[in-house]
Amino acid sequence: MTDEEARDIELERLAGRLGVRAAERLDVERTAAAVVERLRADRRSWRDRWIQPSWLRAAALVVLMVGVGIVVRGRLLQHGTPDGHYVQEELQGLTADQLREVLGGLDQTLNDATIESADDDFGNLTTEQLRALLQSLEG
Amino acid sequence: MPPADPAVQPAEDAELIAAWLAGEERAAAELVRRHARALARFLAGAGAPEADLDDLVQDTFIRAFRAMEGFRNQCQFRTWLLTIGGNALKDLGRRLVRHRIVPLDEGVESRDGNPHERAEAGETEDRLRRGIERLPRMQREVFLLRAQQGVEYDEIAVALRTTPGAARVHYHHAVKRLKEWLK
Repeated sequence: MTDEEARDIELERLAGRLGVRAAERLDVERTAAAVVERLRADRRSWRDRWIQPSWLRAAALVVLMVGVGIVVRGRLLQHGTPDGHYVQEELQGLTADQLREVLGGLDQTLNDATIESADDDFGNLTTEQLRALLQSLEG
Repeated sequence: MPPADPAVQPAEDAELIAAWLAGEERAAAELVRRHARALARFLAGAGAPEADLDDLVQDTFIRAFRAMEGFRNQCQFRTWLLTIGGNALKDLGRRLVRHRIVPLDEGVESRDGNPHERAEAGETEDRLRRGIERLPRMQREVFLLRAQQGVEYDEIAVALRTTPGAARVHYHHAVKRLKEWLK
């Protein structure tokens, strides 16, 4: 064995002993308990962090849905139903005779007595009055 | 001789890791029991102050358990743990420099003040420890993994994200420097 090889072996032997005494002084059981406790605290704090935003998200969602509901209801009340809007547009292009025809069609669904008395009155109405009447019927 | 009863065989690290990931705390405690002393030796050999050794071992395990889902058995759990310990030690060195305004080498060097134990450790061992602390980090970790922990170059390479050839070169340079310092 050369001097160089002997020195290599001695170096590895010394390296193998490094830190042995410090490691022996380590209380392994205490370390294991401390690590587990810290991991437990880690999991608790993770859960807390997760649960808190979950509630906040759920509450925000409810507030959002209620808000959207209020806005939509308000708009519907303000402008009428979409169907009503379309009916109004269609009535704009009709003549007096056509409007009377539409009213006549609507009358099929009404009470007979009402129709009879109403039929007499339709003939006296102007185009604008007929249109206004139909619009009020459509709501 | 009858085969050993599988029921009494100690669980493999991989089984303990899987159990920990499934939420079993006892598996974590068992992994600490298995590897804490080897980790403490590695950290002390790399220059961890003895007063901080216990905290450093705990911090290393906490980091490892937090990162466990990323561990894919690419190397032994212990080798992976030791490299995490190397990172924890480096961070400690930075903190010591920042808060105590001392040079990094001085900050991470052992502060074990017991003169009797220092004498017992022997002058050569003390010089070796100081020499290891002065090595560049890669050389220091490769040297300790190989010479102190007996890890193969292939595994060192995987753990330190280098090649086995590069790991050999780092080891060779470390040995050369240490022998010069020990002359």
